[in-house]
This record gives sequence, C-alpha cells and structure tokens, in this order.
Amino acid sequence: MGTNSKTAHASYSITPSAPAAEPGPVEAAPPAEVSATPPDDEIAVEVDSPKEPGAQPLTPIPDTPDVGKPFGEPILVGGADLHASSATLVSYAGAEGPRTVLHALVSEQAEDKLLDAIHVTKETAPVQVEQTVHGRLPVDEQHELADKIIAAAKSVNHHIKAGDLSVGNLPSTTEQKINDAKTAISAATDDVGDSPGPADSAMLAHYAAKLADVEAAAAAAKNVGHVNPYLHEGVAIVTVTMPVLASDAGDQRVAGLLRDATRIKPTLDSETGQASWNGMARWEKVAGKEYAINLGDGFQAVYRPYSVNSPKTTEFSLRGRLEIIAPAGEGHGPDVVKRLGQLNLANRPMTRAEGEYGYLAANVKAQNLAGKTEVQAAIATGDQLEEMTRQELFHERAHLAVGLDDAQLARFAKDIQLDAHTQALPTKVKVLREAVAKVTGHQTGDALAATAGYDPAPRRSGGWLTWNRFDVGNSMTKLTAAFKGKALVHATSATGLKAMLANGVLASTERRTLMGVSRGVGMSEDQDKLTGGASSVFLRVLGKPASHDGPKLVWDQPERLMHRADYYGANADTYGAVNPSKTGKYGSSTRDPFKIAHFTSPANEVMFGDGIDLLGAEGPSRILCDSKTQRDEIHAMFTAKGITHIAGKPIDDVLKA
Amino acid sequence: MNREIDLDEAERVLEDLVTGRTQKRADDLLPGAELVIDGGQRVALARHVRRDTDEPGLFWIRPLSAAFQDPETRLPVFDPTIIRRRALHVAAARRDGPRLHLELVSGSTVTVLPARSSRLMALQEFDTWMTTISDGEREGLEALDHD
Repeated sequence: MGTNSKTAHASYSITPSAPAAEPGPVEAAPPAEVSATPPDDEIAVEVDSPKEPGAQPLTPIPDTPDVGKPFGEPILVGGADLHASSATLVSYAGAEGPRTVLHALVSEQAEDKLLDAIHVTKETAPVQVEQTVHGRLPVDEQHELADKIIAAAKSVNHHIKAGDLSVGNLPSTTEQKINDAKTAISAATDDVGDSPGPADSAMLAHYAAKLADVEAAAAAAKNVGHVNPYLHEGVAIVTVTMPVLASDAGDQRVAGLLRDATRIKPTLDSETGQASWNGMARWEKVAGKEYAINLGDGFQAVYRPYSVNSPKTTEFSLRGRLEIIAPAGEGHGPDVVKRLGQLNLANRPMTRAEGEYGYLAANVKAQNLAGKTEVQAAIATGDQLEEMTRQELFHERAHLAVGLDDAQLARFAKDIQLDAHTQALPTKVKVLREAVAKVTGHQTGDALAATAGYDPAPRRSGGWLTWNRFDVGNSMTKLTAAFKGKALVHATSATGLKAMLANGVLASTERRTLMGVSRGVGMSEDQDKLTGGASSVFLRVLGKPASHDGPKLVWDQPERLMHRADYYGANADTYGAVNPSKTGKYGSSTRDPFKIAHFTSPANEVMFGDGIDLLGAEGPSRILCDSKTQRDEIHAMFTAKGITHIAGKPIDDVLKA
Repeated sequence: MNREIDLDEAERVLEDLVTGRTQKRADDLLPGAELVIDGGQRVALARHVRRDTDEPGLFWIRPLSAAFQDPETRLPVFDPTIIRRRALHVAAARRDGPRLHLELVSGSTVTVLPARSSRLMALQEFDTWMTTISDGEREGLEALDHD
C-alpha cells in the first residue's frame, strides 16, 4: 500500500545515519542508489528520480537509532501528513534487543485517510506474556494501610500549617486518622496470622515504623517526613489482546481495535540516562480513546484520533499521536517508516525542496509575515499550481483507473495527490521565496538566498529538528548588542539539574513522556494553556546571574538560541490566555527577538518548542550547580561519558558552583 | 467587606487562602484555595505562595492539574514540570469576603477563593503526593524558586 506511484519512480534505498556527532545542520544523505531488490509492493519507500538535487532526502533514516538514547533521532517525512513533517525514532533498550518506535503527530487533515486504512474489529487473539511487576501487596490494598497512614500524615502537616496543632493539642480529626491507621494495621496483622510470609512481614514492619513516625511528629508538633508505600516485586502472566481480521482475506486494510487510551511507559535510568521498554508496559486510565492496530509481522501501531477525543474532556496533547512499534531487534528504523504506508500516510523521507518550503513557512510564522498580501498571494498561487498539476496528472492517468476496486482507487487517487505535491514543489518554493524576499526588503528570491543568514537546512537539537530564522542570522551583531548584560535562564532544583544533564536535554512534557521521565500530560486544552503548554520548555530573560546562584542553566549569549524559528515570549506570565481587550505592555506575546531582549518582568517567559539540547551547539554557557559537591559529581558524569566541551567551551569553564 | 487592600495584606490573605487557615469545613476534606483567571476554568492552588524578593508586586504560586494514578502504588502522582510555579504580577488587590481579587499588570483579572468540588479533591490528592515524596523534593516545591 505504498503512497507513491509505482510507474514513474525509482525506488530509494535508505541510508543509515552516521553516529551522533556534534549537533549542527543536518547533512543530507548521499545521492540515492537504485535498490537491487524490487520494492515491496505493499510498503515500498520511494522518492521521485534522485537526479534532481531538490529530490534528495533531507534527513537520513537510521537502521537502528542509538539504543537507549531517550530522546531518539528526528527524521523528516515527505508530504504534510505528519505535523511539521517530522517523526522521532526511538530505540528503547530491552532484554530481547532494542525496540524501535516511531513517534509522530498526525495532522488533523490526514486523519480521514488514516482511518480509511483501519478495519475496525472486535475480533482479538490473546497473547500471554510473563512480566515483572511492582506493586502493593494484597493485604496492604485490602486494608488501605498506605492510604490511612498517609491520611494521618497529611492531617498532621495540614494542621501544623493551619496553626491549630501544637504540643499537647492534637485536633480530633488528626487523632481519629491516627487511630484509623492503627486499627487497619492491627486488622492486617490479624489477617496474615502468626506466621506471615517474609513479604507480608516486611510490609507490616515498614508501615508500623511509618505510623510511629506520624505519632511522634504529631506529639512534637513537627511535620511528618515522607511516607512511601511498601512495594513488592514479583512475576505475573499478563494477557494482551491483539486485533485480528476474522476471515476477510480480500480486505487490504489493517485490523484495529478501539480501546481506552494508554501511553507508552518506558523507564529511564537516572544515572546512565538510558531509556528501556519491554514493548508492553503502558500507563493506563489515560483520558481518551485509541486504536490498537495490528500491522502484521510483529509490527503494531497505536493511534489516538482527533475525531473521538474531545479537546475539552480528554488529554489535549494525545490527539493525533501515533506510535509504530517494531518487534524487538536491530535494523527496524527504515521498517517503521515504511509501515506508515499501511496507514495511508506518506512514508518516504522529506526531499530538499520540501525542506526549503518548510523553512520558508517557519520563517513566515516566526517573522509574522503571514498577513502580508504578497505572502498570502504566493501561498494561494502555490496551492493553485499544485491543484492544476493534480488535474493534469489525473487526465494523463485516467485510463489506468478502469477496473480498479475501491481500495485500489483510493490508492490511485492518493498517488496522484502525492505526485502533484512533489512535482509542483520546486515552483511553489520559488514563488514563496520571491514573496518572502520582497516583504523583507530583498530585491529577489535569489538575493535573499544569497544572504549569510539564509540556511534552509534543519538543525538537530536533541530528538527534534529546528529551523533557523534568516532575519536573525542577518542581524546577529545588532541582536548581541540588544542582549548586552542579559542572559536566558532556567532555574531548576538540584535533582532536576542532575536528571536533565544525565539525559542531555531540557525537554518539554510531551518529549519527556516519550523518554520515560514524565508520567504523561494528563491535561485538557484549557489546562494545557493554563500550565504553559506541554509541547514547550521555557527560559527567562534576566540579568546575568552570579555563578554561586544555582542550580540554574544560563545562556550568557541568548542570541545563540534566538536564531531558532520556534519561540515566542511574553513579558509576564500570561497563563496562555490573555484577554485581548486588556493586553498591555506586559501581556502580549511576541516572536520579535529585539522585543524579547527588552523584557523586564522577573516572570517573563520565552517558550521554545520541544526543548533544548544541553550538550550540543545550543548548550548553556554556564551550568550553575547546587554545590561544589554537585559540580564534582556532574563533572565526573560528563568525563565518564567522554563529554569535554559544551557548545565549544571546556566543561571546567561551564560547570560552576 | 469589599475593599482595596495593599500588597502586604494581599500576601497575608493569599497565604490564609492557600493554607486553608481561616476556613472551617464540616466534612473531612482539608480546605484550600482555587484560582480563576479572566473568568476561565477554575484550578486548585497548591498550599504555598512566595512573594518575589526583587519585585514586591510579584507572587509565585503553583496551580494544580489533575493527578495521575501510579499503577504500582495506586496513589496519585503529579509531574512537577506540569504543575510548575507561575507568577501573579499584581497591580491592585481587593478583598471581598473570603475572596481575593487581583488586577495583574498584564491586564488579566484573577480571583482566589476557597476551593470547592473537583478542585478540593485535587488538593487532597496533592497533599497525598506531597506526603509520599522525599523531604528535599517537598521543600523544593514549597520554596517556589525552581522553574
């Protein structure tokens, strides 16, 4: 079920990536070779003739992304089926070998054709898997031991804060909660009998000690320290169901089962920064619905449709999220990209021409050019060109449609659409480049392209790609002057700093969820706005902090980040929803780096999409540690990983305390 | 009682609200505060507030989103990055019975009031989570100086 025409194109052999190096402009893969083997009829990965430089792929697709690298490898996929035409390939470490997963956000416009590819079924086949599980013991859960001791601890801490708990004066509600916990422990002790097993015995001792802590704190009118539940590790047989098609052998669609939404649940080693996943573990009880899709040959997909997940009542950021999961083993990077074709989505790498269009579009947004008449006209002209090309191709190929069944017709139409997009692209790029040049004060598109700041190559930053702003690239000296005496700063905790540096990224909540750091997003659209957005990280424009004022990440040359095209800022905490009628000098958000340079409020925020690579070219100028001990600890961690410089600066000069 | 108050009094009222200090409840739920911005969605506020040392009109707070349930412990958990500290940069304050109305320099209008229904439940879950995390992490959250 390939997305491209099989008649007019050479197949493309995907080029493995080089080992990860210092982030910078992404190198295009070498010219495509013609594969010796015939393309897979179902899921061939093809590009138009590689003779044209513009048709060459922009990002290579790795055979096996770096195993355990939590933020994965970013790739660009042709067409506009995926948000920003991008996907991330992560190879999670696992006992059975690496497990490669493609993570992407499907654009809402592409959802209909994706859903057309799914045969919704209730037929399933059970698969039983042995899994290690952690959890509370049944006696604990039955008597709610952890819950009751925590309730007593909460009551002590609350009344101390409220001022009505002092030595010799215990509120009756607190006393009652302590007594409830005592009664529960006593009942649980009776239940397990005179000769409890070692697990029950250890659990009861754990809770008896915690309850004693609570009583002592209550008597002394002091806060209770943390009360952790007792967790037991064991092995359990877990039954997993996979959707299957009953008997309809002629149906080319894939079997999909609608179920309650989940999120992948990798684990992240806080010391090594390695992400692991057994291919099974998922966070459940996620607000929303998803399709579990059987792609065959051990490949699966999970998709959360926009159409059945309301942004008001379900997890906002889950909508449109797609995972394609390979069976355990090496070399599945290209496979998971190919499998996009089974879902009617474009499954070939992005070409250079497509990349330049994306670059121009990112600059139009960043430089606030979308309202300019010339730009609007260029975009409309481009769309018309593509439509005309589509019609021409349809007339040329109409005779090939005779006798096709519904599924073949759908593929025929899809191929024409994608070919029209590809053929029209060079002209669309030229038209948009001319318009953007005109509204930014350049004589011609060629003159704009000749400026030093014009750089239509995506840059790798962590597991994602960013585009540069040419206006910033062309005015760096002025911007450096505007930021004089100021820094971009992210204040964090000692544990937060260590975790970020172990992972190597300051990552958004969505990205952290894929990495196994975050338990999920869990927010409706309104909550997402209120908490500042799950898809961004933020820094503040502040005076340069002193080196002992940690823990902080500090960019003393903010212009090193301001060349990115994906930020916006506000000179106040706007809670994502500023009332336009009340917007004053603090409230409105801006993408103008010169306005951002003049932010004055201590609560100003500059939001960057996805995150920032802390160990690469975008890395901080200074890392202010919590203490000298922490500085030594992080220094040792860097040395063990072979990290000697950050953004060209020796780590001895970067790490401060 | 509906009157303009200065920032010092606003700080005291805000602290009383988030800690539930002056609220009495007949049921067993520990009282606290919720926040409304420009008439939008109501959200619970964690039980801590800090006035900025450099900017006296700026109060740091922590709005709460819904908790997740940890499948291992069956207890609620929060992601500190999601419930990150936020700022109220106050231009003017007014007290109206148990409510605190704040005009922010951004032009937004904020009301802080005793928490009810789902916001009160979110606070109970937040209290549970705060009891299960390490003392250092809890103190870090209460200090409101980390992003």
